[in-house]
Amino acid sequence: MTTTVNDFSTGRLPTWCPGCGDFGIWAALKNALSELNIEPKDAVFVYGIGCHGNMYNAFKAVNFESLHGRPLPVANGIKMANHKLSVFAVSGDGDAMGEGGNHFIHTAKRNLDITYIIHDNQVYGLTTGQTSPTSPKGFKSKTNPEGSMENPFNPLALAIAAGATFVARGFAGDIAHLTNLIKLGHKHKGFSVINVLQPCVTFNHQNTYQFYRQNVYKLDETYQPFDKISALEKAYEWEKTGKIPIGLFYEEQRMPYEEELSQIKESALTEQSLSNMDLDNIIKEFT
Amino acid sequence: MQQYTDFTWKIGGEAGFGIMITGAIFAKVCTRLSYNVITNTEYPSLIRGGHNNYTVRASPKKIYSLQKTIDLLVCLNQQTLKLHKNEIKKGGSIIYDPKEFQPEEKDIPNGVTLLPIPLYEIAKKNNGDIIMRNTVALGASLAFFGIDFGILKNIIVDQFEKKGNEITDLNVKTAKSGYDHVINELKISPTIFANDQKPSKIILTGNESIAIGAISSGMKFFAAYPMTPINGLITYLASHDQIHKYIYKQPEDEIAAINMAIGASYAGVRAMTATSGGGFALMNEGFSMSGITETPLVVVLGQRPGPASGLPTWTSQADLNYALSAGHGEFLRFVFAPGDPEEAYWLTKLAFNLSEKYQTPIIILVDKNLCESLFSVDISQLSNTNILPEKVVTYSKTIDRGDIVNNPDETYVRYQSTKNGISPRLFPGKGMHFTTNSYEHNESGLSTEEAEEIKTMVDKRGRKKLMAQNESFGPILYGDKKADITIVGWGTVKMAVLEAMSILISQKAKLKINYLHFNCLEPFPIKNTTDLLNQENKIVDVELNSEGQLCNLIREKTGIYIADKILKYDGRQFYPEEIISALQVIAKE
Repeated sequence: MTTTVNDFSTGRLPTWCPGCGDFGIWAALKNALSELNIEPKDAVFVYGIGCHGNMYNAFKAVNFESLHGRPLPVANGIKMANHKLSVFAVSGDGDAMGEGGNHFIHTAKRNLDITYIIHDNQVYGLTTGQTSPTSPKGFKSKTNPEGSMENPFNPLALAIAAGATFVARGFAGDIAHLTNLIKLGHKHKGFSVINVLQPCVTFNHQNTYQFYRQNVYKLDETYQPFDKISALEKAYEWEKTGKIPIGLFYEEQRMPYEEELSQIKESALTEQSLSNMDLDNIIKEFT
Repeated sequence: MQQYTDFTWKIGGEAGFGIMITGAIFAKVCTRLSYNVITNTEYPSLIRGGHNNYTVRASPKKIYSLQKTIDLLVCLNQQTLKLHKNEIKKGGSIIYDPKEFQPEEKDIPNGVTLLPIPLYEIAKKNNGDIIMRNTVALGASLAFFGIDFGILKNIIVDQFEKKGNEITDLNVKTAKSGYDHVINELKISPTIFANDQKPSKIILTGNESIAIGAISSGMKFFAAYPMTPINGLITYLASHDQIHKYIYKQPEDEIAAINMAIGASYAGVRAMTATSGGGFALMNEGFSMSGITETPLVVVLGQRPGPASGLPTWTSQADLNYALSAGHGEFLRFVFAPGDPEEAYWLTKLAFNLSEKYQTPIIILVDKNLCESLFSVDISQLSNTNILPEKVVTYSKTIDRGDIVNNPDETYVRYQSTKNGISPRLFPGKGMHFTTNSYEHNESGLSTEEAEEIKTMVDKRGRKKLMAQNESFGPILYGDKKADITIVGWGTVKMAVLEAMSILISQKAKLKINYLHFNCLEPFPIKNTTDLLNQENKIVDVELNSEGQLCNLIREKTGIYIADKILKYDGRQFYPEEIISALQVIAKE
């Protein structure tokens, strides 16, 4: 059965501001899933809290709206319980690198086969405009009226250093390109991080569509994403030169965590019988 | 010659001296005699130094807790004698190494026998290093109590099998030297006894009781971050995951632990997490999410004194209030507080059923004393027991996964507002898309801010709470209905209270006590409590906290005010003697 983009609509419209980058990401997700022929009933999406987290009301899938910063551990649990599911986790930059920072780096280290899409708008949108872990230095917000005093994280470098085996950057304004990244991320066996530049038309007047269109360029086949150090250098290119590459920065083949578990070699945990274990066997060592 | 039929042995020394493993082996020896065994460990939060001790009480008759007095104190250093000299019975004995220290006159209680044994020398003679002193002491202790050496030999062989013949032989020889020294040099030779029948008991910790309860109930996912006193639960489950085919995952923090467990449960397996107070504090938001998303979850909460870091290696019952109110917002939870390892096993099984039936979190509230001490358990008690109401035991023998949807259609919604409040549950990947939500939601799981829809959902979850009242059980009455004093207590005070009652009966004391044991704290058994608490009796609340939390809970739920309390909150468990003294004071008033 082929899925189409319309199969993923619930009929409700998202509550994002007109022009929000989230619309582009939503479109790319629907495109990617239908091109992969994944049906709504088989696509598991775990969200954090933020504007990104309002997607499920409009998006037909197996949705789990979790807590701020916590979609990754929930996704970890889902994947281990049923590794045959296609599991996506979705966060904003605050969700991923603020509240959920520890889970971000540990899931990368663990390398479970989960595709992580980060809506990176460099601000806390849903709570009406506070500084985020990726806000540029000097960025003025409700929590830094005089301008942020800290340097932002580099999400790509963070992901690469933490051990993610697929690290990419997309742009909400280039849906076709992002669609392809999502497909590649899903196909990749391991933890795939797609950091998406997402203009926030209401609270971020620095990183606008215009700004991105002027500075973003697509990586092509002259860039080979298989060396970690080159990938890190590429990740820092924006800070160094002002040019913003988008595309696949790094990919490595490393066995996903769940494939090393002998308990689920033959069947998913959810497929295994729960019948009462042989008590005699269990208590033998206590005699 | 004296035959010991109810004896208490204690060994002490610095951390790093092998105290814990020696104590565990001695406890196992006693279990193989088919004796009832109760133990306790005391150790500071250190890896080396400080003072560790291990106490084992063993008896052919039913015992419920340790008593304060010891028959044999094995001192691997002088500090042990100084700290525990007042616990030694008249007629008791002390084993010590005269090369290590000479007991000072003031440290030798009246009527106590000194048994100098050159522990280090004997260890060295067998080519062992200084840590083998405890092995010598182990052999010596067996001889002292008249226990057949063969029992220890078999345990050593089992224990060191994997380490090879050389190590096994070393340990057997060293232990035997200690044993022979007592018989040949000290000329102590009680009648040697062993158990000819197949042992009817196992020996395990409270942590392990919970573990086997969970495994036998089909738990498939366990995520827990190390924290005393539940580390033993983690260690056991982490090493048995491949045999019993479940996954143990060590998470990056407690927040990940609970969220992983919720994810796994949501995906369709029975999931559990475990922690202590501080870790549970981190889990509270996740706990609340389990409540609103209606995802089953079992949480083992092992108490130690708080607040904050508190006393990692000591025991307490100060988190009852916390367990009852944890997690913001209003939602159903169950709180069970097992009183001993048998209850821990059965209530864990019950917890998995009820958490899935009601799609809600359940806390198994235990403490360091239960979690980390070894106890003997009659094997028969794991198949059937009368220490819990029949309805609980019968139900716990089944696997009830609640209302699961197998063939969903387009009309399926996750939070259907049913009459009893329980909405049929679908697992991901089982044929239909659906939404699970930690925001307030409507029946479809989509977020809502509409007044009507909010009320509908809160009421729906409220109906679950109402229905759950029927699952409440207890309190359980021990002793005659007619008594001078009724003790109320919850969780592990059961052990010391029943021991106190047993002592009073054996002494043919005039004071008549009965005990009302609470192990289901939420839903609170309001009617039973009101019926059973005979307010003509004096009622005394016994608990290991400073506020009398059960006392306050009983008043809140039933209006019954209990004026007399025996409260202990110094990090140690109750001893029956303390309870008896305090009761005698209260009885005089």
